[in-house]
Amino acid sequence: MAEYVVSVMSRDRAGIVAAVSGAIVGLGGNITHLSQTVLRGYFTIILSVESEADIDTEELRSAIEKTGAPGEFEVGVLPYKEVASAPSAGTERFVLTVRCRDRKGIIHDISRTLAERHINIDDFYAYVRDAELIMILEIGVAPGTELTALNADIDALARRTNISASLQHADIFRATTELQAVLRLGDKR
Amino acid sequence: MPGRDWILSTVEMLQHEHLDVRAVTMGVDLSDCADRNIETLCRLVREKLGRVAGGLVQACEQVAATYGIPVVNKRLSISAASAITAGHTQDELLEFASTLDTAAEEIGIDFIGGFSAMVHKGITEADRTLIESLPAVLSQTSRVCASVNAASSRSGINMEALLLLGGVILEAAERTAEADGFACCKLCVFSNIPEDNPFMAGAYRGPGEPETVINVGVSGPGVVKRAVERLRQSGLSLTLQDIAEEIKNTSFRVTRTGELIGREVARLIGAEFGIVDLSLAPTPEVGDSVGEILQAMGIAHIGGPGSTAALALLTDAIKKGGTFASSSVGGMSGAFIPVAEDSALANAAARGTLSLEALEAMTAVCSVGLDMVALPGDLSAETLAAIAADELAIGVVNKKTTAVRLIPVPGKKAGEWAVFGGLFGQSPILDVCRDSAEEFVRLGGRIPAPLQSLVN
Repeated sequence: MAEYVVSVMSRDRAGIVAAVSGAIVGLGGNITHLSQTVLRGYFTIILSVESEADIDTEELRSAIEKTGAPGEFEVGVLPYKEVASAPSAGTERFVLTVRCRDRKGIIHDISRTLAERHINIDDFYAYVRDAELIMILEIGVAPGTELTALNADIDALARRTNISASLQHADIFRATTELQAVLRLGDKR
Repeated sequence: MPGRDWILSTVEMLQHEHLDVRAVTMGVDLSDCADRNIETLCRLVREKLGRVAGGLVQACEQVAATYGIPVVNKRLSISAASAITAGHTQDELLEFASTLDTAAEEIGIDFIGGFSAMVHKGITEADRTLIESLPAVLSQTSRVCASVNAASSRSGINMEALLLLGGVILEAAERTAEADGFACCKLCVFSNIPEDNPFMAGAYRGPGEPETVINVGVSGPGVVKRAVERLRQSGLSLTLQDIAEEIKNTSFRVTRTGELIGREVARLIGAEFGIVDLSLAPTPEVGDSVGEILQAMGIAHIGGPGSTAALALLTDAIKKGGTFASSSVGGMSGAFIPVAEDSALANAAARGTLSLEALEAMTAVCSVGLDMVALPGDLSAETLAAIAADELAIGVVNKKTTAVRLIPVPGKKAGEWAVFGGLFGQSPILDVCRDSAEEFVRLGGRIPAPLQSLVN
């Protein structure tokens, strides 16, 4: 079974997913995973596709591109290679919430602080509301990580860059919003 | 992961609305330490508390760092002391209390509860010795908290015990006259005392509880106040049902926070998880007040008309949200209205809208009773016993917990202020209709248990 990872970016409009999936089906492919979002009016999607017969990556890219208007879709296709272990495997989920006035380089400052501690960002969402930049990062923290030291790094960054930052285990957000019992959160309790 | 707005609202509650865990209290059974030799008893107690609870503060701090939720108070509650200290003298009980004080200091906690006696039906020699030792114990230790259960719905009200306690409260106040009778801040007299209450001064580890157990008091009232304010500022057309729904939803989230933290602390320290107590416990800090919730709901003068109804709505909504959130709700689970510890209540008392009688009416629909109420220092033991009996009668008849924490302030009269400091706050001294029940109280004996049918 051949597998591919496909990405498409374009200005958003109705019918893009139908167009992209139509091209994939037309070449005998099947979509197994999908993540799609719209950011400031721009559509992005990443797909995992499997096919019994090999498909030429350029042929797949071109087929998808042709379902849009000329120059409308920016398409990328890679053969899928199995990832032995995701960077966040075995880590505990934490959420880093940052609020600040927007300025150049702030996302780099935060991501570099995490990278220096080999902390992977699994999910990152940032937007501006009422002139305030709000960032929500879901990160994986290795078991045994000295949280006091990590919090000290984040506090130091917050002081240096004049931001408000809060690091909390993801279970606190699940506990306060999900209906399932606290006992069923995680595997520690 | 929850939606981004939910994440932000939880962070907002934490950073700006006092979302915290108000108390993590570890209950410890000390019955295996009982010994007729006081030195042996004290040694066993100190060793056991150090062994099972020595890591409590560190566990709380670790969990607080993981979840970003402060644990404001870490405390211990022990088996009712009168059962452990039977056969000892008052001097020996003071030595026992000093041991508890030292152990609490070594563990790093501010209070240890359970210097307690259960006398709702009768007083044993051990109970009497413990109660009579209270003035010395409460004035000569700093961390020991005491409680006495003097009434229950099944047994009625032990008036003999209340008269004894009236004298004890006066003596404890006199011994700490320079601190406005502060010793009395550490003594609660209950009806229907809960066995799993995490809040001081009334916490003790009741019979039927595990060897070691973690009970949690949820966040303070600031979160609920902000939720009500936000809703009322939203511009929506609102009814009281909308207010109740908002409080219920907030209570759900606050209760979940408490349960998560409690279960994690219990896991780390190797204790069983007990209960989450839903009670909103105020502090003297502005914004952390049950009285301010009532004001946010539209009650201009706390203690005036509408106060009891608003408090009933608040307490009911808290219970509904909390019980949906967790099947481990217990303790007192209501809303505290401790006058000195709640600046809005203290100010209402100073303005004259919050009287002793209004407070009593309000306690019929919340918990825990006439709490942290400063009274004139020249009251008689009989009058104090009668005030306590009135409050405990509300609990006995309504099958709920009520209590009194009365502070007769030596040398001060109604209208003057008593200042206790720190979490205990300050309060004007409330006026009392005095000497009206001396004969009734002196009859002694026990007010029989109320009928359990014909309940209208």
